[in-house]
Amino acid sequence: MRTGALVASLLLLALALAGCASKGPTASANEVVFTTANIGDPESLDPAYDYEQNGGAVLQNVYDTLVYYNRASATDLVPTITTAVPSLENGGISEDGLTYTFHLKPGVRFSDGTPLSAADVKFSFDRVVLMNGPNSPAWIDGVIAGAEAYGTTPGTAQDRAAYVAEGGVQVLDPSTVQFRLSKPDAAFLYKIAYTQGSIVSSKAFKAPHPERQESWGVASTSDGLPPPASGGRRAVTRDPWADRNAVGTGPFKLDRWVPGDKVILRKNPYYSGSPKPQVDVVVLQKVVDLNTRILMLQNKEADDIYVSPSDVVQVQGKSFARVIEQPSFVIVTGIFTRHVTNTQECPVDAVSQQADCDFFSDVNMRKAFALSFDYQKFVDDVTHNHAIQLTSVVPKGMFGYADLRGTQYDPRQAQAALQASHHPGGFKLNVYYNAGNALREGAAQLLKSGLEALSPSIKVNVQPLDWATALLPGGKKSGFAMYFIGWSPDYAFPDDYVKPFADDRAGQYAAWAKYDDAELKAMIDDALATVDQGQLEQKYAAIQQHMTQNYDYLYLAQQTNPHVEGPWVRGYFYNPMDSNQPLVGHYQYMSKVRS
Amino acid sequence: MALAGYIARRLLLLVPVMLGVTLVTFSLTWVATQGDLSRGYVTLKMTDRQVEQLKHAKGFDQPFYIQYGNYLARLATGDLGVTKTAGFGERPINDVIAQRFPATIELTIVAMLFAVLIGIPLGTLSAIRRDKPLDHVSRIAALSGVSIPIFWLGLILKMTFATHTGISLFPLGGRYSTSLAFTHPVLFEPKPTGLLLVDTLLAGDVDAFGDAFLHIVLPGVTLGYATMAIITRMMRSSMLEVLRQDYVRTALAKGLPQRLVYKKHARANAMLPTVTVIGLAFGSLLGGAVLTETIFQWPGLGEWSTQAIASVDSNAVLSFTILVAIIYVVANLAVDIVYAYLDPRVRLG
Repeated sequence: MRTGALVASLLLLALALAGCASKGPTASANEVVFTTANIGDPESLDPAYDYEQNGGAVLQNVYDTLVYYNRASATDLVPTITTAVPSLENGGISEDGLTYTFHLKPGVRFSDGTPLSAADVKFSFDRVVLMNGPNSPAWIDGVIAGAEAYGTTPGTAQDRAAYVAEGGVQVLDPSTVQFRLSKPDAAFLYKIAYTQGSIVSSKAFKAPHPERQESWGVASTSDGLPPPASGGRRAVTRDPWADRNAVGTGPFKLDRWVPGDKVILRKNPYYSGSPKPQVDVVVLQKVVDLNTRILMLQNKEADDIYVSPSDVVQVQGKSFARVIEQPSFVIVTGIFTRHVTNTQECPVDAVSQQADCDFFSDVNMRKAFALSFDYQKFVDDVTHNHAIQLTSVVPKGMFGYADLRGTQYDPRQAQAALQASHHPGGFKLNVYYNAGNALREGAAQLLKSGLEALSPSIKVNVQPLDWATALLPGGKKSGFAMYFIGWSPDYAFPDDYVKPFADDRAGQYAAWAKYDDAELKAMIDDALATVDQGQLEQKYAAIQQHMTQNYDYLYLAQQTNPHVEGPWVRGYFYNPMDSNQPLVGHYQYMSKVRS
Repeated sequence: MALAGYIARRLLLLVPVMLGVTLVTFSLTWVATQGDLSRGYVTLKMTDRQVEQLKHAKGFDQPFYIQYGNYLARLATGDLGVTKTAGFGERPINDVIAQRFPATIELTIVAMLFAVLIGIPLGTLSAIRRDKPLDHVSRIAALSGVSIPIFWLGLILKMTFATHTGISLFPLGGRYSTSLAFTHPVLFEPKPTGLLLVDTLLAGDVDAFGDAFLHIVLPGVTLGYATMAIITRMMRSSMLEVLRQDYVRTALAKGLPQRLVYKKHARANAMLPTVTVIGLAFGSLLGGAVLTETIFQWPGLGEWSTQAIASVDSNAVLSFTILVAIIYVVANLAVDIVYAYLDPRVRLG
């Protein structure tokens, strides 16, 4: 009985505390708190290292870049802490396209109260280049004079001095900073709008911080950078203090980060930009379970929640949820490897039973594949209309997008292409996708049914592979004939799509696919060196035309992203370039209607 | 002294157990990654050169025996390495365990308390009132406990007790209310134990304690329900067996009060097999709170280990398995000691 009494007492205590706690004081009584329930947590808050969405969501709210996208537009850039976006007309870009000059707005302060100066801009960019983390976004700054060459060095003090001597980033006066590029780069302004272009407080970053002691051996260095390589010791590429702290000029400042749980941001009292934040506190809460996220929205404990396209049906039409769906810049494609290096994976001719490792070097074969895929069925039945057809390598909505018709499903023409190919009698091949990705699995199955309908001698074996341990390493070694893959942008410029897919020198899909087209590469180089916007658009249109005519990839879909928020939320706009989309990207625009 | 010697011997056994666990886990990770542990670090946009740099920097380009040897050498100094899946960049695993383990322990203790405080009396009463309505209710509760999936139970509890459409009595998840934590910082950084219920009491912060208590009720019940069911069933069957023994019948025939016979003679003896279950369940709950932690966004080890496994974070996976092995060994040891205490016939050593 005593045990029973104890249990009853505990239950009574719970009930009593429930009554008390709900009446307890809270900081938010007079503050507006905006809560986002997401599925992830940042890896780091260091702009020189972090290269993922969850960290980006924090960085883009606590830091400013020199220029950024104009609200929902992924094509127009606007000045943030600068007075103007450099152009040929305003003299910010030199005639040769090699020099970019920025003038800083007066009165801009960091969240610790220190004023922004051109030295902070130089420190921020030099820091990214010189830390050069192997899995960081430092490569995006590679066009700054001396940066690419520095990236090939061990990172000694001499190497660093050589980079600085190149004068890639120069302080002309306290409010003017100039970038010198190693070659003209029409994408440069878009590149520095990514989070690696965040301007950090050099004062805060140069101050001593005990978190560095273990990996640096010291709490601070005179230049605020991790120790260089020396005497057989490798250069340190991380700053443990910056991994967990942030001091920027953005509309919010970091209040605290509880790893694995939440990040809390507060209004930056020194923020001089506009609009000023209307919410006082932002909570980025990690909630892995979908049902909990939905219940949080229903309880008004969250203001926007992550819901994947396949799950959005669970909140559509509910009174507590508003769904806004727009095309993202995330694309899904099928890769045709021109030369397969793993002989076990080479497609086999149905008649001769001979393996053909150059199976996809035949344009007719690629054409047969492209025309036997039912694109509309894919959008309707596999993505459930959470995608639009991808018509070329550049997604719709991005600068330079060519409004091409796109390949259409045509079994008759596919049959003709097959007959004109090297394997008119059929073939056998494996098609892979990353395990767990229903969209790519659906694409593979649809391709299989389309191809096998062409001839009973065609056998397509669809198989899942683990992404990290099998598909990625195998793809990099050109080990598979065909597989499905996706791409998301770093900057909203066609170069970020054209290069990885069409330029094997960039080391990504084109290299994996053994896709070596000298004419195309010359066109890419020419486009990137062009400064005039009108000419640029024409050149990128020509590149896309060239690629689609050659059926170089199986262009499938441009995914859409459902944003799910409470009907009491105001101010949301969708920009596919914001980190963390389709969740709120910039909280300074957000407000809540009090019920 | 005999007890101390026994404990020391059992703890020494941890060394070969650890070696076995690390070797098996390391080998499995090695096989799964086809001998390339860098795969958890390599991203789509890294160039070949960057991949090579990374492999070299982390020693992933060394053969199996060197990598494993290096790992053991680090482990011997208490260094579990770093993880990339716990925030703060690459973070020492010792720090992550220090931050997250208290949350898991706290949840497990509450779950066990729930399981034991409900399970033992319910099983006892069920046996005493065999085939009466209470027995039927208890058996249904026990059967549902072993049959209902955790994720479903958690969801139903949340929908019933934590939404505005149900009884809004408990929070949906987390360890504390963020808004309250702004004015009660002990919730953000519980010290010295890391156990919120303890640290808020030590800080004399009743509001914070109440908040933490409310947050742990639903995950505690969810995690403990299945164990409660097992304990109830075990206690019932064990009690039924004891009640049939001659010494119980003799005690009743002597005219001893029924309550005293059940409590002192029957229940104490029926507890022995139940203690074994409790000890093993404690280890199992500590290592297996993955689903509950995920459903209730409880920032413990289970939630982190899931992410680490999905991200091929080999250091984190190794550390988690080692920790679970230690927990099982210690839990077994504790069971043996309690056994000896409950049954004087059992001799340790």
